[in-house]
Amino acid sequence: MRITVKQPGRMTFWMGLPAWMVFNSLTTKIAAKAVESKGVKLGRQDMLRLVKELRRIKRKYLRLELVSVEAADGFRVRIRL
Amino acid sequence: METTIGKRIALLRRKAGYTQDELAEKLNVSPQAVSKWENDISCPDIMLLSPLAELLGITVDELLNDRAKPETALVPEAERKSLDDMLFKVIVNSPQGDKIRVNLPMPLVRIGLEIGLKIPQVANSEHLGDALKGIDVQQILLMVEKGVIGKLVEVESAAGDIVEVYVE
Repeated sequence: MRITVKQPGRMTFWMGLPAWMVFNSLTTKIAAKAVESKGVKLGRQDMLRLVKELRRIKRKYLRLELVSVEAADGFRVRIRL
Repeated sequence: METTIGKRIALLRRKAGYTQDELAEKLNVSPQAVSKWENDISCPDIMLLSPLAELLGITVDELLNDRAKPETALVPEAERKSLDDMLFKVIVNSPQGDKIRVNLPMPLVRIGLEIGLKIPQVANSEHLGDALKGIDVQQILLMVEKGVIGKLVEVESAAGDIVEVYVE
């Protein structure tokens, strides 16, 4: 997974994270906590299912751009698988 | 009515919310080159066709061909792609010029629905969540299973954000 943050007039920041570091049991627990604050209760099985699917998608769509946000002032964030 | 490739590029560029300068920057060409394409003085280099089509949200075939493709289509059962090969795309353009693009593989959307996630909960944005609140993703999934693809939703929020949902 690659996260890129560009700000006009500033240095571009990017972070590459290996898939195993993003999709593992620890991150699923952290994600479950995060979505719980949004009122969604996710069980361990649900999270593992999500992670399994994300791993499959990573293999299938290598470098898929999941999110791209471009502000009018030039600020840009991209999250790529 | 016949349209030229230049006119199609100009129309699709405006629709995608890019200026000539922005499109030129994304393709690493000069704004003058984009202007020449749009005025049918020159054509994009063959190596640029794929990234250009991608930026304009169409295929290279649609970019080169004059035949206008309907935004929403009902695909016959024999020609349908598997749900596993489809992408759920959300495009948000704000009146201030902010752009948000989200591409989610359909299996992920399906799992999200099965475990009870809803778009506004995922969106985590007051305006975006508000604009997407009325969208029934379950119904979209049903439409896709029946063979409807393309632009399935277009909503304008009270704040003026235009939200479009495509399944391709």
